[in-house]
Amino acid sequence: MINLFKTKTGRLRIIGFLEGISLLILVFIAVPMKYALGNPMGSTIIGPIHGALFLLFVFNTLSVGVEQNWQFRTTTWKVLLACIIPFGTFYIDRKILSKIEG
Amino acid sequence: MYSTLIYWHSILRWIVLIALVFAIGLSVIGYLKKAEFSKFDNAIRHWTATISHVQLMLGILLFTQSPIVKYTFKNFKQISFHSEAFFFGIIHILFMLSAIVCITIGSAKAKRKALSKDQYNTMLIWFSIALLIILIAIPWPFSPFAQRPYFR
Repeated sequence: MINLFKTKTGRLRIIGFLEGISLLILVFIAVPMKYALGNPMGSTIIGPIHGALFLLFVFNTLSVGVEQNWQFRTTTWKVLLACIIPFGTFYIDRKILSKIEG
Repeated sequence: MYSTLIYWHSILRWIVLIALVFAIGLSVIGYLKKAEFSKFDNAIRHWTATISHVQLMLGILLFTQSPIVKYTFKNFKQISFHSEAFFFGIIHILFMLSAIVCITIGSAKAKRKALSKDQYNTMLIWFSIALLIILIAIPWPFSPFAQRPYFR
């Protein structure tokens, strides 16, 4: 776990995990709460947090991608797309990020 | 919370600027002296990118809370290009996002280069472009777009 903080890819994985969680809370709890129950509290709180994590993830993906010479056509676009799909970042973490050294 | 965020966003601007200018200065000196890209240079490169990312987080939080931005998107058809609403709702965020993209890519590219000369060169070019964009899009008291105090 501590090792994750030491490398850029590790930090990207942590951000991806948090981003994925915040997207799930937003899509499956906060938004239904707002439109079905008329209570916008959930989305007012989680909305900005998710927005911030989302951008942080995008920029870190760019940064790691440039640093490690990822091919846009094979890797980068998948990672970028993953962060707007629920459960996407977990999938990408397993399939791509966990296999990258350092 | 909103006014606290604004306060930190305003203070951190100076730190971002200092870090950027410092990093650019280091890369000019290192390039001219044909020096070795040192651990210190590398740390400054990394911290400049990190500080600007923190500033980005604060900015995004502010963007989602700001009454000016809400106004911009509610009255999108009526607002004039010269208004503060247009500046904070559109220009500020677009310019700053592109500046962060420059810093992020520049920092990552510089890290990858094999020769110290190329590392300094890459850092110099990308960070300078970012600095220029940031200087345009800060609401300086003398800015033609929107004016805010130096400190708040």
